[in-house]
Amino acid sequence: MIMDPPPAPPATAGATMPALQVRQLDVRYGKSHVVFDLAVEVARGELLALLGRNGAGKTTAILGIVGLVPGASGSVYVSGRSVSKLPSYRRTKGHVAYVPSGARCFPNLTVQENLELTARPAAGGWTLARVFERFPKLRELRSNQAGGLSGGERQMLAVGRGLMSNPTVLLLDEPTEGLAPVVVQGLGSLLLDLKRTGMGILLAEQNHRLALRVADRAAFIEKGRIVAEMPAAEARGSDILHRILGV
Amino acid sequence: MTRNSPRLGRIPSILTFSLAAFVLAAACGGGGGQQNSGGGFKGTKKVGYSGALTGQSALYGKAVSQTLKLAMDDLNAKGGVNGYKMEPVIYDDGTTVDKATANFRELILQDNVQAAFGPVTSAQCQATSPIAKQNKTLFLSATCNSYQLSTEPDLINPYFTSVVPNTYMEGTAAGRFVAKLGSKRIFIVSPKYLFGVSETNAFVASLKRANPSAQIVNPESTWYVPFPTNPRWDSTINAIQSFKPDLIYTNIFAADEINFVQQAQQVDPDFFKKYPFVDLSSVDELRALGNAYPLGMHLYMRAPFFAINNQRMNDFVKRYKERFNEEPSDWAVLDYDAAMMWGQAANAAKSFDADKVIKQIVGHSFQSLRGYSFTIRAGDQQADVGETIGTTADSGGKYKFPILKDAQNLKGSDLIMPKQLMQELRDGKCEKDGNPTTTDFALCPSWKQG
Amino acid sequence: MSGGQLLLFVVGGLSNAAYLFIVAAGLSLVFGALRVINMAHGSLYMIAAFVTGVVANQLGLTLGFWGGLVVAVIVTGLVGALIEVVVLRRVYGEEHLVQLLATYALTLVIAGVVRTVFGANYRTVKPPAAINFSVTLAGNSYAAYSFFMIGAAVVIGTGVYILMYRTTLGRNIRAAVSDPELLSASGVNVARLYTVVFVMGAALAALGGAIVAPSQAVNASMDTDVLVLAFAISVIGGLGSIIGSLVGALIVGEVLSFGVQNQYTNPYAIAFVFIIMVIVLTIRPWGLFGKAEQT
Repeated sequence: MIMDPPPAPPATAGATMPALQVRQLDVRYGKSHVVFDLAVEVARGELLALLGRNGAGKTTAILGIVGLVPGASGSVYVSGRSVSKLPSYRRTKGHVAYVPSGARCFPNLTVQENLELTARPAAGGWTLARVFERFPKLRELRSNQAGGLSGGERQMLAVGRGLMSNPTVLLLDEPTEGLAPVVVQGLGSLLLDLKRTGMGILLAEQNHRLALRVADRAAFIEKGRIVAEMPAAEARGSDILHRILGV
Repeated sequence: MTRNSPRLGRIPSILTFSLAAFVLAAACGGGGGQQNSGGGFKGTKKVGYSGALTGQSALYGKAVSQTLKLAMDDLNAKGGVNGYKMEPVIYDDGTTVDKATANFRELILQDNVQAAFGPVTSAQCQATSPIAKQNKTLFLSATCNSYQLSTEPDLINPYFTSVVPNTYMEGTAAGRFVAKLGSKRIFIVSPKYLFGVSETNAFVASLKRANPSAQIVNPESTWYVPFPTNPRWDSTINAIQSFKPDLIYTNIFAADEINFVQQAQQVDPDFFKKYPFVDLSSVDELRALGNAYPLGMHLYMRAPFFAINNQRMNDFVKRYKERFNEEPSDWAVLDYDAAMMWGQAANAAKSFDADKVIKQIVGHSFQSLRGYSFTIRAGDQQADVGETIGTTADSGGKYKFPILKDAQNLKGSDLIMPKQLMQELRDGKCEKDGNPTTTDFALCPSWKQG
Repeated sequence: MSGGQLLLFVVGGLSNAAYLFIVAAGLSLVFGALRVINMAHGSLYMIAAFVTGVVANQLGLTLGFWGGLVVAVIVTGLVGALIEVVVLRRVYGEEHLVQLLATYALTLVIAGVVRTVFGANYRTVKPPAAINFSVTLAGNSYAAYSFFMIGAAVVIGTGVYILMYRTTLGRNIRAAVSDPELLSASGVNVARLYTVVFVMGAALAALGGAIVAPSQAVNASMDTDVLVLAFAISVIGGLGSIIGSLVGALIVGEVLSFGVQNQYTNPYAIAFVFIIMVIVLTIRPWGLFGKAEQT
């Protein structure tokens, strides 16, 4: 992950810096170039919705930020500190939490083991008890293998896993896919609560209804490029929704 | 785009498993000599050996390989054979018949060897001798020794010759020895294949003739144990305990002998004090078990260096030890004899042609490291070589393993199969119900007459 | 067959099963987490048996075997770490065939090294004096060492179970079995975890090799002998399943014990093992306790 040329580094690292800054992110799978010169910024307590159709490059962009694709170049800053050279396991240790699509978790581990696996205690942060408080259903299922959970329960678990690491920035990849409306509602209010704690959130979605309700800003991605970026309020009902998402 | 790492499912992975097993089974060792002919030689010629460097008899192959190098160097030091520098080509056969067969084809057809040294087991020789015959290549047997190799019509091979006492000779030596010990109740353990059956039959036949009152306590159906490699001997050990014989007669060898001796002593540290054995053994088993080898056991051995004292042997042991940092096993001695015999005969024939060389072997005499000269007789082309019998005893710190005390070197001429018997075997007069697969010399008319 | 004889064969089978289980559990553990069929597993077992032999014979009867066992586990573990870092890391993403060839190459290299370092001569190891005695049960005598082997397998099996299901390391290994990518994205250093798993697999091979040394001739072809059986066990029990290794080892151990000790079946004892393997493959291709690959 070499920066060439190095983009201007943020002036000072620290609490005043944006939760996440991504510059010049390019991702290639072998010969195919999937994400082009992507730049996004998420402030603390801000939620950025990354909207695009299936295959537009949302997931790949997130994997590039997490450091899970070898063919990525560009730079990623968390709280102003560069994590570009860190392997994914170090990026995700406390800095960035990744909630993958499809409510992916470890099916052969119990609910509690899934949560404990990402745990990274922080003063006043998320603990097992607090996650169980927020998702009482998970407490009931704590000794069950995650593979046996329903889609909605697994999504709670996936989000819970993200929270357990008390991240600076939370990346969610299509968390509402296939969920019942009532579960989507619950997720929406959780995201609003999380913003209030100062967590930066990047929400990649096709479901613009939820995304634009909770987002502060929206970035539209098409064929691997950010084609537009605007405040969420402006995006609601705008014709770009029709053009890019086909709604 | 969630899981992008390529992964095979379990079913294909299991298929690859079978492939793995196949690759393993086909695994071959290899090795050869260098390609250069030193000054004064007309060129380089090869002799071949397919031997057990791995598998049940891995214990033996190393000594033979070392000896062949030493023997070829000795021949080369005297000008080589017919002016050619000799070089050994050695392949591992894992003590399996299939690999030995493949190796023989390779040695004869690819490496173009002038003579091939026989593999370890009689089952391997049974499969490889016909290949040598078909390709007119001398087959020098120094380890495998079932008499059937030279009496069964489909195995008879004009290019086969043996410098090791055959199963008739060894079984006879063991049978007479046990008769002399006066043992009344004998328990038999033998590997279930050509060699074991052949040697055990010879033992029983000669024992019954020399001491008709001796009794084999276990039923014939339990004499034989699977071969190769029987890692657990619980059944045999406990059967011995329940039959309480005076003596165990066995011809298990290599890994089997070691495992059996080791496990029996774990079951009862005094096991072999209660049930001493008579066994075909070699320096290799003594060395492997070291001070765990029970003392007071009666061994019959083909060429134990420590029981044979003559100038040639002493010189051989000294040079072998200097070069390979260990004492030569019986197999080293026998293969050295075979190599020297072939070198001498090929020089006398002034040719490598198998027909010409065998004429210089059959009916001729050769010096053996065993302290005598032996003659290859016509017919079975067997050397009249002897066997050493003695009782295991501490070497008094001389070696890290026991040696034989009261060792006697039996004469080959007293043991070799009578010619008439050999002829009757060849003529199919010694078969049960006229079935050629049940040939047994004890069924021959001349044996029955006594 | 009398009751006493039945017990004799059962105990013989259990002592076979004991060392085979320890070895197969290592093979299965490595496959489960790393998805690599380690053909060199038997080679690691052989290294351990030789090291046990050398050290035990140096140290004498009281301490010898135990010292040999400890040194064997350490040496083999180090060799395992070296193999993982130098060879396996390069082939994780490759097809199984490539991995197979790479680890098969290792078996050849190790076989050569073992023959050079230890020589082709067989070695024997005496059991420690404290457990070298005879036990009589129902009219038959048994080597106390057989029961030691069985006990050792129970202890080691329990240890592996506790490690896998009661520790953070075990939890991470199980997580790596199902989704190494997600594990990496959960803050775990998967590359280092893989090294640890491979070393654990090597240590299990080593324990098997050290424990078997006093009951069998230590020789340079032990690697393939054990590998073939450990494969059969893993296929029967289900690759990746420790419980499967246990059940597979019990089946194979007993089939061999009963098979070889009966004159009618003894030539076919090994064949029975593979017949069972084929039957299992036909009915449950993922083995008795394995899981079918989830798509």
